[in-house]
Amino acid sequence: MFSAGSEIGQVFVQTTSNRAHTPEEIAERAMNRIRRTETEEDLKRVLLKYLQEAQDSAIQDARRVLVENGFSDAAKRLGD
Amino acid sequence: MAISQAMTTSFKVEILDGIHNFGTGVIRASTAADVFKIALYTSSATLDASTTAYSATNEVSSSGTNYTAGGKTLTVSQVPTSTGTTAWLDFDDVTWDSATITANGALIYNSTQGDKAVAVLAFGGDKTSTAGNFTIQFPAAASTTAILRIA
Repeated sequence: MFSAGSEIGQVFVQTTSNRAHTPEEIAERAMNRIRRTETEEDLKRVLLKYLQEAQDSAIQDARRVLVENGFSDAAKRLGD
Repeated sequence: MAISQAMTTSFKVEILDGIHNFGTGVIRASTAADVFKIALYTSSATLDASTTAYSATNEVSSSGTNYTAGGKTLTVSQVPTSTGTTAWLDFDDVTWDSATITANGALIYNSTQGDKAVAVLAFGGDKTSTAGNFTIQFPAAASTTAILRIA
């Protein structure tokens, strides 16, 4: 008889209200990943991914403020 | 010399790669990877190991919340691989931006293969975003933690 097991990992859900994620929240998720990285290449990939997300979050919040203040055209210039 | 009974690690990885077919009537029309999606559900949903396919019943509402029925497409960040004798894979985090969502769990399903169910995720309670971000982070990419593992 062969024995093998399938397993499902536990996800982490992070939510916000009326804003994008803060750098602290993104750092928390980055740490969740960094703890298990085994190579420098993996570490660099994780850092890059979450740094990009932090940048996107800042743009998302800026876009939201522009839209809320009637500057939808300017918001569009920041991209989707 | 010794013979150790085992399910081979390569076979476990190849299961995740869709290489082996023990059934009948299975037709794979493409060598491309299938598209996997994740849909969110309210606490009214019944999802468990007996779930066979995606259903919109008790899925998070798509009316004005920036949530679209069927959920989002997942990006495979680590194709099936193995560490030790465990095969595993990994997905990128997925985020619904500027969304008003209350979800209690999620279903990962294969939208290429008739929306067949892959895995049910229980959040352990309602998770809510209000005109904000709803992000699901998949566990660390390792043989003991990854989202889908065959040990």
